[in-house]
Amino acid sequence: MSETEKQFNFEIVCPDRKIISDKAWQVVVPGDDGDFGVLANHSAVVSSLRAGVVTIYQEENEQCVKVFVSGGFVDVTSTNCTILADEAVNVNELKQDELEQQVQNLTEDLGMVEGDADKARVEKKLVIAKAKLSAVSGHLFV
Amino acid sequence: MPSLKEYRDRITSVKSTKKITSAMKMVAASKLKKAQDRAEASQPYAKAIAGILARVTKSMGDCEHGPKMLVGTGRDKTHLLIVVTADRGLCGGFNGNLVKRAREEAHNLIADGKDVKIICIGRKAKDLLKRDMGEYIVASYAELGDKGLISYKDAEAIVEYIIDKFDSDSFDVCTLIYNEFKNVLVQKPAVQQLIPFTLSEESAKDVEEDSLDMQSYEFEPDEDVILEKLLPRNLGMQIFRALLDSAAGEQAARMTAMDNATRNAGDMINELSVQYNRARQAYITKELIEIISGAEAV
Repeated sequence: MSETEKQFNFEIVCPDRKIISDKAWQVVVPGDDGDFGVLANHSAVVSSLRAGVVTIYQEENEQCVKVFVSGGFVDVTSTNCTILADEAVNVNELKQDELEQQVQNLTEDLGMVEGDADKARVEKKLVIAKAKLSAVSGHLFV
Repeated sequence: MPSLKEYRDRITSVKSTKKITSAMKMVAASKLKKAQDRAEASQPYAKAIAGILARVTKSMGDCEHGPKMLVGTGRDKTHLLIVVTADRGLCGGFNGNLVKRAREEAHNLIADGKDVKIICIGRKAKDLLKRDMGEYIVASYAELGDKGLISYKDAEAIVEYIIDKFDSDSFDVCTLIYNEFKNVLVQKPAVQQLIPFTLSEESAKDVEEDSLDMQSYEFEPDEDVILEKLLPRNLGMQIFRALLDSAAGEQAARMTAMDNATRNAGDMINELSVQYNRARQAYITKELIEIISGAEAV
């Protein structure tokens, strides 16, 4: 197989802008039912995503790019892979100390808020903040 | 006949009005550019989500056990209208036309014996509707976005409210009324049904085209679960798009309105100058006649 056939079109889009649009060799996405890797000629899949890291290998045996997504969907066909992210940031741009502070604040908030709707909102934020923290530090925070 | 001083004062005042309108026009033009860019930037996501949604609903087929947001509550009694206008005026018929359309829609529904609820987005919607439709307004949002730059978070807050109301069975059908941005000169009030979800003709056609490889699609987790998450997303995106369209339309409408106002002010200045000169000449002639007849009398 030639080099071009090994690659496929890869996109990450957010509601307000397109984050990445490029060729990729392999992409690992955090699906709701577990992470899965996408190579060229993958069977067509639509999956929802949890908060986690998308790892993009532009070419075989090359450095990967890591992008954090806070959830969304992925649409895979044999030649395309489109990630619809709620929010996406490059993992390099996340600051560990800030996130630790954020997680701590949100945990405190969770104890204070009343009402189910507010509680669910804070919990959702907390899950995302913890996922971000795991993305930066490489350890799992639960 | 007004005195010379009165003419002069009027010309000065029209001149300063002209300065203001032409400045507003330029401000609107630069804001329009920004708003258009933002509306464009949201296109890839809108397209992708419409594609997924079309595929999922297609694979579900015509079954009636889908989520309520897709198939509806089975009733058609209470209608929720979301009316999107601008926060500010001075943009021609932009707000007026839209509110007129919304009012029409509401009157039709009431005449059919339905219950109507209204959510106002933008200060003008509330201002214009509260007098005759105040009793139907259930919520209103104004001054959205940070310095007029609308983000997805703003749409999300509205969606949260709508979903909450939908889950508590407060309404059956939800319709969005907003100014669609056709081009800089044309903004048309558009009415779009959000709940129950209907595929737009465009995306329906797209799906038809790639329906050949439809069978091979897999869903992870299954369709129901994805739809459960996808529909609120899509709702958010539709509202976000309407907000962006409306923001771009507002600036375009203001630009056109201010351009007209500037031109009118220019015409008015010309007309007043002619009248002023005529009056000045008449005054001079009158003085000359007085001097001459005074001299003759001596």
